[in-house]
Amino acid sequence: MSSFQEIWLALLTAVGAIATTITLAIAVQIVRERDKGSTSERKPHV
Amino acid sequence: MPDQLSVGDSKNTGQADEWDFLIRWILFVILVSVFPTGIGALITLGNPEGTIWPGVIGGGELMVGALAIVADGAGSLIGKEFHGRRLLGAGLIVLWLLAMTTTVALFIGHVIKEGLELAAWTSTVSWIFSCLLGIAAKIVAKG
Repeated sequence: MSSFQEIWLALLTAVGAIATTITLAIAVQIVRERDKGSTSERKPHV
Repeated sequence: MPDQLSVGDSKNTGQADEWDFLIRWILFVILVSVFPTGIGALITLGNPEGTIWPGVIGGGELMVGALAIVADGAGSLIGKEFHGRRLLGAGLIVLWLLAMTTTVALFIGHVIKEGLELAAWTSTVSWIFSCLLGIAAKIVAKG
């Protein structure tokens, strides 16, 4: 039978992995959108 | 044309400043926070008993640094407008902050004490996720 500490570590890892993956995905999306915006702004207007 | 260039340049300068800020934050907050632990690991290098890693961080010292990193990340989101993705990101960072606070409390209350190695794993896992979430929080806050 797993100890409290093992269960806590497993829960912490699961919460951390989910939170980190989603938040980093949001951050990457924000950076990409910002980069795309700045690239389109730099295009010369004819 | 010169006006358009200057607008684009100022935007790029702003982005460069943001990246500079993030790199400085990683260097001075994340790296400096592990200095004492790193020095502790170096001191125990000559330990004939070996097992440096659990002995150095098994007491939960790294947890305090990790909590400070994620708290700083969460703090940078305060005062921002929350909607859509930023709301989700902020919610997840606050959830992790609560999980970290509880874990540090369990360390301080000696509830997490069964084995140094398990405690060291808890510290390591928490620190890695806290650093990544701290960086993500800074980007989400600026975005």
